[in-house]
Parts: sequence; C-alpha cells; structure tokens
Amino acid sequence: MKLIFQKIIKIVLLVMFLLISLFELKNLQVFAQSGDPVIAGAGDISPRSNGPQFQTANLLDSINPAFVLTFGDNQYPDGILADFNTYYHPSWGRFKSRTRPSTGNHDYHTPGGAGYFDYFNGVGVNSGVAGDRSKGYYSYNVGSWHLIALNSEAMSSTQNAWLAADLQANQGTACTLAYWHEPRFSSGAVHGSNNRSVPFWDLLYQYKADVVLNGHDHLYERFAPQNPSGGSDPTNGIREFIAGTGGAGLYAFGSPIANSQFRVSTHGVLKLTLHQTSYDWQFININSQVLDSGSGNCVMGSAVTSTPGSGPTSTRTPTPPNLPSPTRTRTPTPTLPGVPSPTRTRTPTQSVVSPTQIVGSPTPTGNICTYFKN
Amino acid sequence: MKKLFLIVLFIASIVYIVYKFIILPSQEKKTSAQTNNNQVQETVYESAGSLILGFPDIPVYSNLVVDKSFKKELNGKTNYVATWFFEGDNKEIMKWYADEFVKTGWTVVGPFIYESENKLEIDAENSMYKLRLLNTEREEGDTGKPGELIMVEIIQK
Repeated sequence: MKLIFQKIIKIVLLVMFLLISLFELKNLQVFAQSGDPVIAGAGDISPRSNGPQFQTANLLDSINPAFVLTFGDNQYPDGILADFNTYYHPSWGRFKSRTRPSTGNHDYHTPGGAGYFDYFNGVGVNSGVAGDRSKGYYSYNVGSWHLIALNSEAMSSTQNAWLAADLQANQGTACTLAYWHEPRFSSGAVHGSNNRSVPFWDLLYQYKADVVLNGHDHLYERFAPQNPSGGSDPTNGIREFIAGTGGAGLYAFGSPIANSQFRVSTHGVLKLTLHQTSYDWQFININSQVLDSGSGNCVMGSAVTSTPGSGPTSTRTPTPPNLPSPTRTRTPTPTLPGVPSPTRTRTPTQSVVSPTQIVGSPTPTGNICTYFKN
Repeated sequence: MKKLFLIVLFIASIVYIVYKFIILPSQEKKTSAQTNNNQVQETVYESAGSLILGFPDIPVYSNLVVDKSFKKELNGKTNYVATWFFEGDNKEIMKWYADEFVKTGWTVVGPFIYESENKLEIDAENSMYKLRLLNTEREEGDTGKPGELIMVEIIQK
C-alpha cells in the first residue's frame, strides 16, 4: 500500500513537472525570436546614478534582441567616458557588442562627442559601431530591413547627401528604418516637435522609408504614418516612435499633436520584430507590461517624387473661455538642393494595418504614469 | 524523511499550479476588463504664459515665468502639467520646493538626482494629488522658447 502511494505521488509529481515546464516554456516564447529579427532600444538612458537604466537593461535581457538601438543621450549629463564606464557599462553596456547607437545632445556636451565615440568605438579609435567620429551616422542591414543611424546633433549638407546616396543605394531592401535623437514630431511638454530633422524626414519620405525612432523627450509616443509636414498619410507615410524612456527622469505631455496615437510617460523599451515586409512593435515598461503593441506593413510602390502633401490636422481641443488660445506653428518643409530624385519602385501598394493597443489610464506601481490612445 | 519530502513537494506543486492557472489568469482577466472599460478620449486644455484655470494651489518659487500649462481630463479625473522658466541656482530652488511642499502638507520624496547632480526631481503627494516636479532645459530648435525649465505634473488620485 505504501509503495503504491509513493508511486502515485511520483507520477503526480512527474505530470505536474511536465505541466509547469510546458507553461514556463510558453511564457518564454513571448520573448523568443520567431525567426524574424527582433531589435529593441530606447534613448535617454543612463543617469549619473544607478537608476532605472538597470531595469530597462533587464528588459533587454528578457527580449534578447539581435540588435540594441539607442536613440541618443546614452550617458548623462555630459557623455563623459568615465561616466559611461561607471553607469552605462554595467547596465546597457552588457549589450555593447550588439548595440548600434546614435548620439544625442548630452553626448555632445563633451566636445566632438569624445566620450561617446571612445566608449563605443574604442578610446581614440576613429571608426567603429558608432560610425566615424567626424560623422556619427552609418547604416546596416538586418534581414530585409535597411537600418540607418543618423546624427541630429551635427546636421550638415554632407550628412544629408550621404543619406540620399545611402537610400538610393539600398532601394533593393524591402523596408527602411531610421533613428536619431531629436524628434520631428512630439507632444512632449518640455521639448516638443523639432524642425532640425526636417531634411531627414524629406529624404526618408521621398525614398519610402517606413519607421523613424527617436528619443530626446523622456516619454513614449507613437504616431500614425505621416508626411514630413505632419499630414496624415496612411499609404506612404512614415511611422514615428519616441522612446526616450531608457532611464532618465520622465517628462510630461502637453497637448497631443496631430496623428499622435499613443502616449505614456514611464520607463521602458521599444521592441520591434522585423518581418519581410512588415513589422510588429511593443512598448514594454519596467514591470514587463506591454503597454502598446501593433503591426504595420512596409510602404510599397513607387517612390514619392513630389513634396509632401497635406498639412497637419489639429486634434487639439478648444481652450476654455477666458484663457489665451494656444498657438503652435510648424515650419514648412523645405526641399533639399542637390538631392537626386528617387527612382525606387516596390511591389504592390499596401496600407498600414491598424494596431491594437492597451488603452485607458491605469496607474502602474511606482512612478506617476498616464497613458491613453486617441 | 523521503515521504515527508515528497509530501512537501506535492503541496508546493499544488500551490504553484493553483496560483499560475487559477489565481493569476483571473487577475489578468480583471485588469484587461478594466482597461477595456476605460476607452475615453483625453481632453486637453492649454494656456500659454499663465496657469490654467483650476490649476491646483501649489507653492511656486518667486520670479518664475510660466511657459505653458495644461489641464487634462481623462476618465473622470483631471490632471495638470505646467512648465516655468527659471534663472538661478537649481539646487536652491529644488530645496525650496521640497521644504515648501512639506510646509503645505504634502508628503515629499526627494529631491533626488535623476540625470546628474544638477538635475533633481521631487515626488510628492497629498490626499488629492500625486505630483512630480523636476528641473530640465529646453534647447534651440525645440518647440517653444529655449531656457531652463521647472516642470510639474500633477495627477489626481
């Protein structure tokens, strides 16, 4: 009787062990790569303290992306090499070998971004994963995607010409993603939209780029596909994400600008799965909650040859009586001299799939955090 | 001894399975349902150069100039954001805020460093609101006038 009891217990335990293993395996698959490459990243990462950059780094551990992208302001306050080694390295530095960084204004507080290039390229080394010291921009391919790291802190006609030539030379890739620090469009109350990157947007739009990733405003925001003027363009538009949520102190949102679809102010990372002609996104906070997710198709068809069309449409609600009306102006998109006309053609035109998102305004534990969708 | 070990293991497994397959899924379902019920558009009011009507009465350091303020209505709650331009010693200003919030009945955490020794943040709360106040800067090219900023976000509980 005793033997039978022990056998039964053993069998039950074995079955339970198998069930638990299956369950945990299923959980792990949430983060595992499905064959298509996964990239993840954020900007505004490492304060000069042991702050939330360690928690966002833990998220990267869970996601295990093929490449880690940074959207500038890698190390605060001045991008000094000693601070990189003390604060960035033990956190995001764990992924240094697969990091493809971009630089930010704080990284350039050190002349020439010396600390940034010393850290990523090697002390005194001119060229490396961060690109040439004199440039800070470069590109590479991941699967069927062409990825371009740009330098919004050193805008120049040289960089614009390089971008045009790079886009021209890579028209064979199905999808294009570009990333840099200062966003063209932002609903942030501190920085907001920035005209600095208009030349980037003009070229990327002309060459049918698909996704733009930025930081600078310490928050997460997703936009619907739009043209460089901020007009809605579901067919040929570029989808912009801001993920300045790597670890620096969080900013609040002001009035939502046109085409803003999702906004949240909390630390986390943006994960993108790059399919052959489409992409999935997830914004994951430091509690491992997916706050925003969805899918989009890459822009297909002939390159846009005309200047971006319709202007932005306002989503702002009226100001209450007795208060001054809000004013916001957007500079018209200039055309770039000397940029070759794109001749890229892609096969069939597709529109972007509407995403599904978590909506509402729950308050995750810890930080003040509001999020919602339009 | 072996039998005791097996019994303990058995009970632990039961507890694990009950938690994973019964308690946890029910919690997730509850969260999901709450989320779906909250599909309400946010309404934002904006005021440039002055504090918006109804802005909570919080201490404000002398000689600060209001940049913008926002009133946000969402899910029956009203939240506020404001930015001020300031000149002077940010550490002194942030210390003043920390002291004044305590004097006016707020429970204060901080100021603590969030980017560097010159970038400080104060978290505070009272019976009605949670508040986050920090100093930062806005550069040339950003929307709005560049300068040193105090930003406050006030969330209704």
